[in-house]
Amino acid sequence: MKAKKPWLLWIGGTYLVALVLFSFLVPALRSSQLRPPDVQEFNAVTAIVDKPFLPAGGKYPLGTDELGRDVLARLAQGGRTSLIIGLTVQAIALILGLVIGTIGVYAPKWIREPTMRLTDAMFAFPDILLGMLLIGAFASASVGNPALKAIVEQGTIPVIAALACTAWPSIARLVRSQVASLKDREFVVAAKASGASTFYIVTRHVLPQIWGILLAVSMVDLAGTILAEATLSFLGIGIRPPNPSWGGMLNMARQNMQAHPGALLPSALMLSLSIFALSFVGDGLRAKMDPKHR
Amino acid sequence: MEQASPTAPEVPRTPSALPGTLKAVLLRLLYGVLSLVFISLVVFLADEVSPGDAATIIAGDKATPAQVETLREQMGLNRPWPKRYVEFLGKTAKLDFGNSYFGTKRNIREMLFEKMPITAMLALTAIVIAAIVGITLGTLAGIYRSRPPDTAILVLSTLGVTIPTFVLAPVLVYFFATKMDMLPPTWEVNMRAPIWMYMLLPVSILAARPSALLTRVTRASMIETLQQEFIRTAIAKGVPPGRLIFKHGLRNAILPVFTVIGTSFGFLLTGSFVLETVFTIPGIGQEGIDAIMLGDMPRIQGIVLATGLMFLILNLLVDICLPILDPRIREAQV
Repeated sequence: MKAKKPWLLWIGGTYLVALVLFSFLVPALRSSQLRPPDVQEFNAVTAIVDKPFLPAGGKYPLGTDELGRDVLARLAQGGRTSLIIGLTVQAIALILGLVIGTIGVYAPKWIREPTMRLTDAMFAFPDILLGMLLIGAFASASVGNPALKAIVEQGTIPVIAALACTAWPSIARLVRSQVASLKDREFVVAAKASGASTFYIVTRHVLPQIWGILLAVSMVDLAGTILAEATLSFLGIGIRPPNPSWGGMLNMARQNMQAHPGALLPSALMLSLSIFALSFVGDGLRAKMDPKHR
Repeated sequence: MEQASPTAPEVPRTPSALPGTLKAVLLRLLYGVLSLVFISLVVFLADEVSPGDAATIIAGDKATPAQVETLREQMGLNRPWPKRYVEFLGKTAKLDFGNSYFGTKRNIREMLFEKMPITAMLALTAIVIAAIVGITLGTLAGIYRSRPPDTAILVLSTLGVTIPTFVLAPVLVYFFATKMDMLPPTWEVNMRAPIWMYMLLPVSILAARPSALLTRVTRASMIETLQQEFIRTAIAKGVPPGRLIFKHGLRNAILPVFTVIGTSFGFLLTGSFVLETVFTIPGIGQEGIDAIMLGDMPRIQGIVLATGLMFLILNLLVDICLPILDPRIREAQV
């Protein structure tokens, strides 16, 4: 996957646009299509619409799942959850990484050193363990606490917290190395000499130089985040049923695999294709943005 | 040779590499212990900052606030947290995490000793297979750069890196266990076949992603090494191809691969959790998921610390092996 293949970037990009449209439009569309005439409030994502395990085609383009819910609507809603979680996690990681990475270069030594040691220490922790620990802490705190219990049983917030905590250190490290390499360049020194504050230098001179590479790296990390969310949901500790997620759907399909192997296809394909597309786009962008990567 | 000038006396070089290596190993050990202390602090704080404590959970829903308070007093939970952390650290060193909050209230140390070996066996077998497959394929791809074998291996490894374990696992189980009925689809207490038959499918699936990753790293490293000047010299000197590839090429190319073996152990952990779910293997992963579902903090803490320890030991081994394999690192450390 070297820089010479821009068509991979385009295919990946087109797929991602299609994925966003699909996952944000289809649930509402299916709700209006499948709504029985006498029902006012209807949600195609959670409602049982027909017999379980109907084959694909006709009224249900992807068939129905183990409870008789519309697979197409659930697939789209699962994609929406994955995208929202992935983007939120990346946004948090990016902000944390930017702040901590910049602190690692510009702050006085007594702040800088402990912060960077903390960042290094985070790498001693395998991601999955920290994630499990945080989700476990949420679950433990929710025992006998109904308000928190609802949040834990829905799953989005613990997953975001867990994944954001594991995602920021690598961004912080990247920001730090990039900012450090820019710190002594002429235009930064010149800005400093003309009396600009550190905040001004960082926001006006340093960040515009590195946002491209950050965007590309976030794209690659987004694939990892979506994969991690799907893994957690597959294991039953991420997005919890009845809320749809690709990982959860795959797990349910797996349990009924012997009788209905076809049910594996939609979620497995969507997940693999999305990961492929995101890494193609990420690698393509990185090749464009990072001169060292060429 | 020039005479050493009197102002810059020659630094006496250590004749053997051992003192430097030893120092580096000790440093690494110290770093490993520090990492463990950090992990234990995070594990402790995760419980600490979340609302609700052990006393609330053990006392149950029906307990009055006064009862909870008495229990808290008994358990020593009302002392300041640094004090309790030191106590926690002491207990952790003895692998004493107390008992589970729920269910049979099982002793956690006992549980770890029962479940850990299964997960460790899975993960270690997988990493050995991944290393063999990855280094072989990567070397082949590096030698046949840009020719059909390389392209085939590259496509395969790209697939291997991108297809998630939990997509691969059900599909392979369907083909090899359900459809062809060659291998058992789940773990059984009373095994009807030799244990390797039960391990074959999970271990191969587990090894898929690290194999692909190691293939890519080996390939890149091999290509870079084969472009070096000493390789050209060796070719000019008439070194036979086998010796050239293994002794001159691979010996140099393999070093970055070792570092990746250590770090890819993180993937292996995630993967083994998934596979334990798919194959109902009674390892640490299933135990962990069960504990998270219940919010059973002592069990989660025990599992996280024990697996973290395993991860650190493996990385430590890699770091200790590196200077033994690479004289340049040894020299640099002296």
